[in-house]
Amino acid sequence: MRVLYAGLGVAIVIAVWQLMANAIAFDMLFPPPRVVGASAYDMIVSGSMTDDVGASLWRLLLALLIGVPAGILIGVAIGWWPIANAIVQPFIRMFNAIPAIALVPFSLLWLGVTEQSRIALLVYTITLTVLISTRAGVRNVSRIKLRAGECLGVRGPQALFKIVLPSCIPAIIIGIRTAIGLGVMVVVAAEMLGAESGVGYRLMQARSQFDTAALMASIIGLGLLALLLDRAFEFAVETLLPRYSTKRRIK
Amino acid sequence: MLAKLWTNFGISNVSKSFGNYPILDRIDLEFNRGSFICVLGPSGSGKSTLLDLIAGFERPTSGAIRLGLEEIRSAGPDRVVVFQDVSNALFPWLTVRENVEFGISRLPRAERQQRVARVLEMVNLANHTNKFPSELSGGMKQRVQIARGLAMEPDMLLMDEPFGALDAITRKKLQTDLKSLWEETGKTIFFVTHDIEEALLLATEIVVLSTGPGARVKEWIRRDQIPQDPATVEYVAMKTRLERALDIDEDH
Repeated sequence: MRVLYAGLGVAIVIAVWQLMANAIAFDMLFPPPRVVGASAYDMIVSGSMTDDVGASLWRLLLALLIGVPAGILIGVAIGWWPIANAIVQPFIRMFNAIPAIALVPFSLLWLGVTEQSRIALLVYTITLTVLISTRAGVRNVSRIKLRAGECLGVRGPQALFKIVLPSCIPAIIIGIRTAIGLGVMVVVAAEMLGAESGVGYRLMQARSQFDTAALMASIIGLGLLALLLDRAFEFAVETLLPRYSTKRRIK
Repeated sequence: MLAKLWTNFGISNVSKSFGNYPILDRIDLEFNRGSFICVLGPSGSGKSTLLDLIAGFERPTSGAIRLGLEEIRSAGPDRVVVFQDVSNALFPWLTVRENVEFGISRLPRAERQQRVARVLEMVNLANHTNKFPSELSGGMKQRVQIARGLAMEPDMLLMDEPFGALDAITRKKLQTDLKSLWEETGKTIFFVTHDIEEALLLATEIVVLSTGPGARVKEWIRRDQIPQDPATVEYVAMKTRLERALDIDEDH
């Protein structure tokens, strides 16, 4: 039933798209679904789509590998020590308002038009996002839980590992999930600046050739990548961490 | 660790204020080991604060709380608290069994399993050991919390309105079960409530605190004064006396 509704949604969107294309009647500017489909097919068959998506995905995964542990570590540290929190808090507020894109000039100045520069922007976004969520999770651990722990002989660093960390795993999961979504946005932006592969690179290529069909196909591919990543992450959490699954919790 | 050899539990001239705001004013009480103490009081009278002091979560501003000769200075596994907010008190990522095992993980495996089985049997949860707290009703969750406390083999159970959030039928059932549990184990129980009938059913000692700020002991009813049979004049008289003591307006 859910699949049916989802299919219905897709059908409606394509129909509206077609109608709009008919109204505009300028395929070059607003390519209809058929043209975009053909372009996407070409890109898939030629392998360029998989190459681009693969390159973006690789950058994203690499950045997650660095940013997620860093975010958790720092988030737990400042969530647990009030002094650290008081010192760092205003900076987090500030940096949270500064999008990765705004740091592009610096990243280019410091690291040049390199892979490191793109990864750095991604790591910045991911670390900050995971950190903020983790910190909130740590600070929201109920005092009752910690007191119950004291009665059960668990306090101090032991409480951190046996009570605080497991308590904030759902918050960390939400943080990672948000970071993946933001990561897809940032990776494309980063790739628009001198990358030689990736979805962002493809978008810039298509734009310079005025290939609006390829542009649209790439954007849809990007959206699908984000959707797929989100589903894959959700599935991984459900499978690997069933104890922390939000689905069971709601019951 | 406090010596397990104490025979009396004394609250000597205990006052507690938060900043300049007095909560408890010179509370002076003494109980025998094995008593079932119920503390009644209007909302905001400092019942829970008194429990926090005994638990060792807070320190008195003046006075001392002692088990035997030893003063309580911090929380410890000899005095386990059963919280009213059971959803926050249990660990949702652990099963019933794992919750109960939480404080005794250092015991040898065989002893640990035996103890878990015994306490879960005591609270009638032997068939639910592998469920998660989210799969249990409020009453069952509260049983898990009691079992988790009992697994520590504490000298004292400190219960902060543990049945306050439960429906009437579940509450009645848990009250009777707690009473038999107390008879069976002989633990000292310090039980905070605002329900007079609950106190009359369970307690061997009833303490009524006055309205705060600066709550004092208004009534202290001893073991032999508490009527057991609800169908007697004495029972009704006692109930009326407690109702009067709890009446917030009467003092002012």
